[in-house]
Amino acid sequence: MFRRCALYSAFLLLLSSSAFSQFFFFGRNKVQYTEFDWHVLKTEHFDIYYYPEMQDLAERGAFLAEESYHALEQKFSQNVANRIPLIFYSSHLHFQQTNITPGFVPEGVGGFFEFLKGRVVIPYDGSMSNFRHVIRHELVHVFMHSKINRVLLDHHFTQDRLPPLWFVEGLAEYWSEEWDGQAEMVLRDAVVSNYLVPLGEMERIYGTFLMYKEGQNILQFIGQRYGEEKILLFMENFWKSGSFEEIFRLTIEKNFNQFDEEWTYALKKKYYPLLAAADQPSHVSKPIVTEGFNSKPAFYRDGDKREIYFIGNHSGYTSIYRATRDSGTTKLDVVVEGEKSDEFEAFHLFQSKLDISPQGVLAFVTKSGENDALHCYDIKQDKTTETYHFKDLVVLGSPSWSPDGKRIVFSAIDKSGTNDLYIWDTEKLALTRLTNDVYDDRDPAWSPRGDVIVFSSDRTSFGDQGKYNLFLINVATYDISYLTFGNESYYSAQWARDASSLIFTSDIDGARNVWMMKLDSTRAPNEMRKITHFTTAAFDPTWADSNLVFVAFEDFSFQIREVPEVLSLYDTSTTRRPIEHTAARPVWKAQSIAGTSETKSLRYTGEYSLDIAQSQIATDPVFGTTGGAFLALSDILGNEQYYFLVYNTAQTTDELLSSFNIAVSRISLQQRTNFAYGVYRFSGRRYDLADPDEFFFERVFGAYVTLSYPLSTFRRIAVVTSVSNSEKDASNSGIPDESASTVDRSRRALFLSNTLSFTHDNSLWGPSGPLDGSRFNISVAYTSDVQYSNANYYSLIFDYRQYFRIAQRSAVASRLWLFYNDGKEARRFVMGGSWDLRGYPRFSLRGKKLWLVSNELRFPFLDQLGIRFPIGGISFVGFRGALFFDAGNAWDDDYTETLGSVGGGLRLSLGGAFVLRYDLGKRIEGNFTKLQDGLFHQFFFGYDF
Amino acid sequence: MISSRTKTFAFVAAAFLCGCSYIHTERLFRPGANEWLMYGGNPGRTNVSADELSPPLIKMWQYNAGAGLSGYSTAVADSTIFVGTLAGELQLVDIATGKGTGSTDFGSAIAGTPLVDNDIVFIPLAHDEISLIAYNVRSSKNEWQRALGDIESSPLLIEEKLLVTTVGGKLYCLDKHTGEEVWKFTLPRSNGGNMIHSSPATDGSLVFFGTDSGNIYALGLLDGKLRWEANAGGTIVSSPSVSGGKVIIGSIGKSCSAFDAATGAMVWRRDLGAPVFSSQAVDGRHVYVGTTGHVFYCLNKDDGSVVWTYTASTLFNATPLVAGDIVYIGCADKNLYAFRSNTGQLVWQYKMEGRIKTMPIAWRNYLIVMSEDDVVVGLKGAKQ
Repeated sequence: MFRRCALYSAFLLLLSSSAFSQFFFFGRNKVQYTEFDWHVLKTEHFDIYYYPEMQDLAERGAFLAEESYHALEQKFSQNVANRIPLIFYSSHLHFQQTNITPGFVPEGVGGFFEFLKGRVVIPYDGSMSNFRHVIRHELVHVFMHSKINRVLLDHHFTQDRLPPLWFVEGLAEYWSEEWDGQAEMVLRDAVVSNYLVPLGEMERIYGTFLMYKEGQNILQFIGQRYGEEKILLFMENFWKSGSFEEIFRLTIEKNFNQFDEEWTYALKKKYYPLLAAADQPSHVSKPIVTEGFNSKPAFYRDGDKREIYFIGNHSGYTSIYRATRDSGTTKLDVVVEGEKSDEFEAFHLFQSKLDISPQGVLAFVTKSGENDALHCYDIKQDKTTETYHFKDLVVLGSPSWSPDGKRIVFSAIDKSGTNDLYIWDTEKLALTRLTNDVYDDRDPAWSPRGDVIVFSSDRTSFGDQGKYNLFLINVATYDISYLTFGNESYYSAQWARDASSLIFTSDIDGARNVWMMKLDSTRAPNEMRKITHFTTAAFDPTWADSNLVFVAFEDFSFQIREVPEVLSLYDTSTTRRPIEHTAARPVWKAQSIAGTSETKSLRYTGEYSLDIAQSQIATDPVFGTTGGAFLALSDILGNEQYYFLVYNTAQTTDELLSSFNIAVSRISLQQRTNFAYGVYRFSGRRYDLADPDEFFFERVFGAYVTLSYPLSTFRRIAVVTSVSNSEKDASNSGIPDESASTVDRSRRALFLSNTLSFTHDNSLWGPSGPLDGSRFNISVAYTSDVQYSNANYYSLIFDYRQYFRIAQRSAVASRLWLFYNDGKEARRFVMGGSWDLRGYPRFSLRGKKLWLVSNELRFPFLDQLGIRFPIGGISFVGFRGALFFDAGNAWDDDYTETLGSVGGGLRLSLGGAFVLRYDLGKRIEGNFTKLQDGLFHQFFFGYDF
Repeated sequence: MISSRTKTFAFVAAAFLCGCSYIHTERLFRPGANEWLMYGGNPGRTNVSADELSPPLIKMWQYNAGAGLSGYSTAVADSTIFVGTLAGELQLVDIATGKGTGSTDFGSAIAGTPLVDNDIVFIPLAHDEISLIAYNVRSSKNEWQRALGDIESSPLLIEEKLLVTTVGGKLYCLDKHTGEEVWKFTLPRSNGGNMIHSSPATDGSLVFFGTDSGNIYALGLLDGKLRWEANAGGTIVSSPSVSGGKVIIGSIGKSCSAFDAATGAMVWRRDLGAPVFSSQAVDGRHVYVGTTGHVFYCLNKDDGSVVWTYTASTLFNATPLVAGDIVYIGCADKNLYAFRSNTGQLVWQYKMEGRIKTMPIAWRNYLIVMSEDDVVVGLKGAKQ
C-alpha cells in the first residue's frame, strides 16, 4: 500500500552501506544471485537494458518511456540531447542486485536516476500504472537536470548545483502523476494533526515521503494559483541567484514565509471542514499498537487470549510481532525476527499480508536468498515448520489459507514481471497457477466455504489509471467474476467467518476507509456501506471475532487499532454506495512498442565510459611534491570497473623515471563471486606506522587477486593473494632511535601473501555507528619472502562486535580484538586513540600481538542545538553521547601490563558522511591499578566501532 | 594635473583589469534601408526580411560566442552583427569574415535582442540593478542607463520612442536620447500573473504585448492608455506580430490567435495541439509558427486555417524567418529547415552542431544561424 513511500531518489542510496563491502573489512553484501543475460532495446530516445525473460515487459516499458518523453518535452520546452540509458528489472528483488549504484537499494525505493551517466534504473512491481508513474518520475529528473544544466551553461555558470530536494522530487511527482489518495492522506494528516512543515523548514523532513508530497502539493498550488508557467520559470531563473529562496521570490514575487502563510491557510480552509463529517482514528478507535510502523494484522484466538500478529518495524529491523490482548492489556513480543538471518532476510513491510490457518499455522513470506520464500510458522509450537522456495517465482505476496488448512493461495511475480495468483498444495507439494496475464492480481483471500477466492486486480478498464477492483475466482473452474467495477480502488478484502460478508478498503469517496458488503448465495451484492469515517486512511482490515482490527494512518505513523461490533456499524451506517453488476466489462490493454520499425534489440556488450578523472599536485614537507592523475571507467551496468592511478614522486629530474607510481585494477561485480585483480608499481619515501619514526625509501612492484564469495547478505568468505617485490632502504632516514625498530634497515624481498577471511555483519546503524546486531571477522594470513627469506610470518585476526539495543536510540556496544603476528619480520599492529584504546596517543601502542576489549553505552544526548547571531544563526542536530570502558595492550615478546581507560564522549554526525568525536576520561594505569591524575581529552573523527 | 603618461598607464591598467574586453570603433554605423536593427526586423515584429535569400546556402564562417544565446536573436547593421549573450556580453562580429571586432561585458544576461540606432545600441539586461543601457559603440560609454527592473524581452524603437517591457509587469516608453520616461503602464497586480516576457510590437498607433497571465494588451503609443485587452488562451512568453490590422500571437495554451488590432476582437484562434513558446513570422498571406509538439504550422492569416504543416522528430521552439518565398526555422533536432512558404515544400536543410532555439537572421545574401552550443554560423546564398 505504501510501496512508493520512499520514491526514488538517489540520495537515499548514498546513505546505504557500500556494495563494495566485499572488499572492505565489514559491511553487508549485495549478492549477485541472478545471472542476467542483458540485451539492449534501442528506441527513438532510449537504450533500454533488459533480460530476455522480461522482453514483453521491456517493450511495454519502452512505449511508456517514449510516451513520457513526448509529454515532458512539451512541459520543459526542451528535448534531451543524448540517448537515455533506461535499465529495467522485472522485480524489486532483481533491482536490488543492480551495480549501477554502489549502495544498497532499500525496499521502498521504486527506481532512481543516477546523475553521473544519466542512467535511469526502474524495477517493475506488477502494476503497469506504477511502472508508468515511476518511468515518468525518473524522466522528469532527466529533463530537469538537462534543463538546469543548460540554463547554467548558457549563462556561464558551472553546473554544480541543483534546486533543493523538495523541489526536485516534488516536481517529479507533480509532473508524473495525478494527486492521488495516498498524497491526499498524507497532506490531510499533516494539516489536521498539525505537523505540516513550512517551506522554510524543509530540511527537517529532508528525503522523507512527507517532503515528496509537500513538494508535490506546493508546486501544484503554485501551478493553480500563480500559473503553470511558473514551474518552468523556476528552472529558467535558476542562474539568477545561488539562493533558491531568492529564485523563488523572483519567480512568484513571494518569499518562503509569505508563501507559507498563503499555502498553509489554503490547506486549512480545505481540510479543517473534513472534521465535521470524519474523525481522526485516535478519537474513535482503540489503540492496539501505536509505536513504530505496523501493517498487515492477522487475528488469532487462543482460548481466552486474543492475539494479533502483524509485520512491524519498531527497532529498525522489520519483524513479525504478536500483540496479546488479555483483560484489557496488550503485551507485545517478537515472533519472527527479520533482517538478521539468511532465512528471514527481509519482510516486505506494507506489501504482503499474513494469514493464520484454523490449525494455528501462520503463513508469511520473506526474502530468502535469491527469491522470496513462503514460510509456515506453528503458533503453538513457536517455531517455523516449513519453508517453501519456488524456483521461477521471484516475489511472493499475501498468502491466504484454504479453509481446510492444506492449501495456500498467494500472489507472485515471476521472472517476466507479471503478478499472478497461485495455489500451493502443502500436502501434495504442487503449485497451480490461477491467473496468467499482464494484470496485477493482489491480496487474495480464500472464502471460508472454499469455493472461491476474492482478490484485488487492475483488470478493469480503469486499471491503466491505477484503479483496483475486487474479483472472485472460482477455484474449480478458474472463472473470474466482478464484485466491483468503478473508477476507484478496492483493496485487502477479508471474508467474515461465515462467508456472508466482506470487509475491504476503498477510496470511493476520497480517503481510503473500511467498507463492507454482504454476500448472498449469488455473490452479487447490491450495495456497500462505510464502516470507518477517517480523515486520513485505514488499511488491512481484518476480523477479530465481531470486531474490526485495521491499520490506521495518523500523525505520520501506521498504528494498529480496533473498533467494536462491525455488524452493528454496518447496520447503522448511513454512507452507502450501490454496486453495479453487468456480465461483460471492457478491460484495458497494455500498449507496447514492439513491431515498430524504429526499434531493434541487440545483445549487450560492455559499453564503458568515464566515471571520474582527476589530477592533483600535492606538497608535503616530508614527502615532497607529488603529482598524478586518477581515472575510473565502468560499463553502463556498473558490473565491470577499471581504475588507473599514475603519479610521480620525483624530487629531482634524475629521479623522474624511477619515481613513477602506477596502479591498474579491475573489479568485477557481475557474478556472485566478485573478484578484483591488479598490478602496481610504487616508488617513494614511506613512513611505517608500525615502527616509530621509521622513514624509508621503497620500490615495490607486484600484483594481487581477490575473490569474495557472499554466502548471503550477511556473510562472506574472501581470499586474497598478492605477490610483490620490495626493495627497501632506510639508510638515510635520520632515525633518532634506531633501537626502536625491529625491521632491517635495508632489505630486498619477494613477498607472497595469502589471506583467508570470514566476515559476518547484520548490524543496524544509527547516526554515529551501529546500534543493533553483530559484526564478526576472522582472518588468517601467511606472508613469506619466497626469494630472499627475509620475511616469513603468519597472522591471525579475530574481531567480534555485538550491539545490544536497550532503547530505540540507545545501545550497549562490545568489542573484542585479538590480533596475532608471529615469525621473521612480522609486522606490528598499532593501537591507541579515539578509534580503539582511548586515552592513549594515536598509534602509540605497537606490537606483534594485541588485545582489546571495549564496552560503550551509546545514547542520544542533544537532538538540536541552535546558535543565533544578530544576523542569521547555525543549527546542529543529532549530538550523541557515549560512556566507555576500554582495556588492552600491544606487545612483541613479553606482555608488560594491561592498559585501560574510562570516560564519556560526544559524537556529532555531519550530514551522515562524517562524524566528529570528542572523548574525555581517565586512563587506567599501573597495570590496571590506578586512575590517571587529571583527565585526557581526545578530539578526532570517525564512526563508532 | 594628470600627466599624459599617467593617463596612458591608467588606461592600460584599466583595460588589463577589465580583461582587455571593450568595444571601441572609429567607424560610423550608418544602417541602410534593409537592416535588421531590432528583434522582428521592424516595429511590427513580423520577422520578415526585406532580403530574398534562397537556398542552397554555403557555410562561410563560424564564430563562438562563448556563452548561450537566448531565443531572441541578434541585430545586424552596416555589415556588423550585434550578438548579446546570456553571459552578459555584447559582441560585434563582422558579417563578411565572422571575426569578432569587439566585445564588452554588461554584467548580466542579455536575453533580448540589442537594438541598434546608429552608434547607439540599447542593451536590455535580464537581472541587474541597471537594466537598460544606451551604449555608444564609438565612445565606449553609456549615454544613459535606467533601473527599470529585469528585462527579458527586446526593446522597440519607433521614431523617438524606445519601448520596453519588464519582467515586473511594466511597459516603459522612454525618450531614446535621454532615457527619460515619456509614459509608463503597469499591469494590475495579481497572483504572480503580472510578469511580462513578451516584447512589445506596434502598428504605429498602438503598442501590443502579451503577459504571463495570458492576456494581450493594446496601449496608445502616444499616451500609454489602455485601449483594449484580450485573452490568448494561455500564458504568453512569445511576442506579438502586427500585420494587416491583426495582432497575432501564440500561447502556451496550445493555440495561436489573431485579434483585430483596433478593437481587440478575436478574429480567429487555431488549436495547435501543443504549447507555443516561440514567436511567429507573418507575411502578406501566412502565419508561420512552430510548436513543442514537433509540428511547424503555416496558417492562413485571414482565418487561421492550416495551409501546410511539417512534422519534425522533436520540438520547434525557435521563431521562424521569412526571406522572400522561403521560410526558415531552426529545430531542436539541430536542423535549420527551409520551406517554400506557399507550399511547405522542404527545399533545403542544414545541420548545426547544437540544438537551435534562436531565430535566424537574413541580411543581404547572408543567413546568420545560432545554435545552443554558443555557435554563430554565417551561411551565404548565391545572390550578390
